[in-house]
Amino acid sequence: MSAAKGVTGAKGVLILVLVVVLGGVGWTSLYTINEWEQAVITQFGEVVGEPVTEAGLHVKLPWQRVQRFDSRLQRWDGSQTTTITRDRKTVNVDVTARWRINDAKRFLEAIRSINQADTRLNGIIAGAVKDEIAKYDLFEVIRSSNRILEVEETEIGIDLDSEEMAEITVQEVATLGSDLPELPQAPDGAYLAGRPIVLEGILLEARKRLNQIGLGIELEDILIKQLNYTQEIEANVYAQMNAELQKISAGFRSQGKKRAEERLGEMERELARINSEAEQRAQLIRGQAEAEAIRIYADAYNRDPDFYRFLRTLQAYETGLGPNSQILIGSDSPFFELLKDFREQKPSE
Amino acid sequence: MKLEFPDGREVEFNPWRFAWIPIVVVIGLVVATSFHQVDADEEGVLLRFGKHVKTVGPGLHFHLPYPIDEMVKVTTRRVDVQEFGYRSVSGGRISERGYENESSMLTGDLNIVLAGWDVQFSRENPEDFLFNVKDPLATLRDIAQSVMREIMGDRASIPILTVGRAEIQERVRKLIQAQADQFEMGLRISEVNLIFVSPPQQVQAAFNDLNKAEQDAQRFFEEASREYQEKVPRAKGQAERLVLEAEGFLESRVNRAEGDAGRFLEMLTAYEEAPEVTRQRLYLETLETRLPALGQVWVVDEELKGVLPLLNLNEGGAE
Repeated sequence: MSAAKGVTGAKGVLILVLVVVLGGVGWTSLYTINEWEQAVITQFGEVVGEPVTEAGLHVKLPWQRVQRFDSRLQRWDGSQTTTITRDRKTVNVDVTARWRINDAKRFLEAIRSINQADTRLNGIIAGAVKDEIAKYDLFEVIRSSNRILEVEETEIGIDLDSEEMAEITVQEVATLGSDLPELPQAPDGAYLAGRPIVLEGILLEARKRLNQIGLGIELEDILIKQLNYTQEIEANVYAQMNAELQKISAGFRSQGKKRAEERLGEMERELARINSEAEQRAQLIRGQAEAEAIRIYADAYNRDPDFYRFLRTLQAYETGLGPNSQILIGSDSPFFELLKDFREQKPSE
Repeated sequence: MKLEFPDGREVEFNPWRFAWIPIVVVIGLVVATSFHQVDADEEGVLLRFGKHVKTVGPGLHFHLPYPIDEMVKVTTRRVDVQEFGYRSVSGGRISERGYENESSMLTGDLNIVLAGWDVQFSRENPEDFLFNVKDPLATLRDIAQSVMREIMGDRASIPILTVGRAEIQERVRKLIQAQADQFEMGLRISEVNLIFVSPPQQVQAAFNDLNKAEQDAQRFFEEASREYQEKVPRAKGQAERLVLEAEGFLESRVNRAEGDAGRFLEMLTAYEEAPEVTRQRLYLETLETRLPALGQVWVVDEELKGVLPLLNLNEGGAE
């Protein structure tokens, strides 16, 4: 190795060291914040300044540390809890919530990690859910409005192809919820109970409890993901549903029968009408016939009533005298003369 | 510098001769992280030091290398589906078993129905999708279940199970969209489809009977209708016949009367030419035809008191 080479080697090493040192300083003084992050800068465990929420490249002192936190909306998913409503019904509720870190400094001091936040929220939200649901009857937790009480025209019914039959609507055979309890309303129409009211109540209650502890967390909303009966109650509900369905079925059948009877009644009426009208017309026509005949006979016979009487008498003899008839003839009647003539003529025939 | 191998060989080694290797590697890395291929159904969100600079469409895009620039790709032009209360299995069939927690819900009349539905959505706004909500799909699932239960919980079970569902689907879609917008999730909900709505297993029989009852009701009426359709026209036919018969009678009665009258008038005309003779003739002809058929003819002397038979003219004839 030559001296020059040694110098160059030393220079090279120096440059290398310098680059490494500068790089290290740069590396420890610069930091980036992503769009979905915020950061708290700490110096020997103490928080320095305000949380950094602006994304991009930032400068800090080399010995300061960056604590990053998610700034997005976080999802809290609780486990199913069993709660009791005011009307003593036990239900399983599965609630989820949205929250975000709104005070990173406070969050860092109080909790440090998202996982821990979830754990803290478990107790707070579950408690709020239990307390709030206990203030209401079950139907007030399930329903949102009183629309169910206004049974609509469009509800179920049988659509028959025939135009003669009106539809059997389920209203005729079932109450369809029109007998359900009403959600209480204020004079201005605003609901005082119902699912949105309950959720709002849970949210407010949970926020209140959160603020008391102060975790740097803001609850955005709470949603009821699932709400089901416990198994003991379910059996009763099925029985009740079965009864309701059977009632409606029976109603449909009896309505169908009623419609059929009405149709048959219509038929009988129609038949009677048709028959009597026909009878009436036939009788009228027959009467006309007789009247016409009478007129015709009268017109003709009136030309010579005497001759008619004579002819008619002869006709009566002709039809009225038979082997069982006996006639008495006066001996001095001209008829006898005729008869004698007749008896004398007879052999000569 | 010299390198000494364990077997005692010595080799001259100059490390500077290999200095190009890390340089090439670094340059390679820089180049490799300086461009991105964005596919046809994607958009690329470009972050510079973590800050959003721009969003680019499909194609090849060059940018500053890592760690300065970073490209996050989001599938924006494809409609995705989330299924609730069921899962699609192969062959277009669905499986409902094991998803009862999702499908079982309470109705407004505190009954239970099972519903399966899907939500079709697209990631419309990639920045919102990436920056605003931590777990967007799980959040979407939460919202969809909450909304569906809210809608079902405000309706009576029987209508839910029987009438058209288009109205429910559209309302659910709108409400999910509203919630997603409130959280600025960057999602567009294009469709909500109710795949099935059915009563629980335990009331299935009664529910089926409801359908049967409807059919029965219809059948009762249709049978009555058929009878009506048969009997009324027949009665009309009979009525028609009755009237026709009467009209036939009218015709024959009039004809007979006219015939009788005509005959009489004919005879009258002839008779008027010689009344006496004709009378006598007719009278005698009648007797002539009738007398042989008579049982007994008694001639009575009218001056005698009482009826005394004088002569039985037909005695001989009768024997």
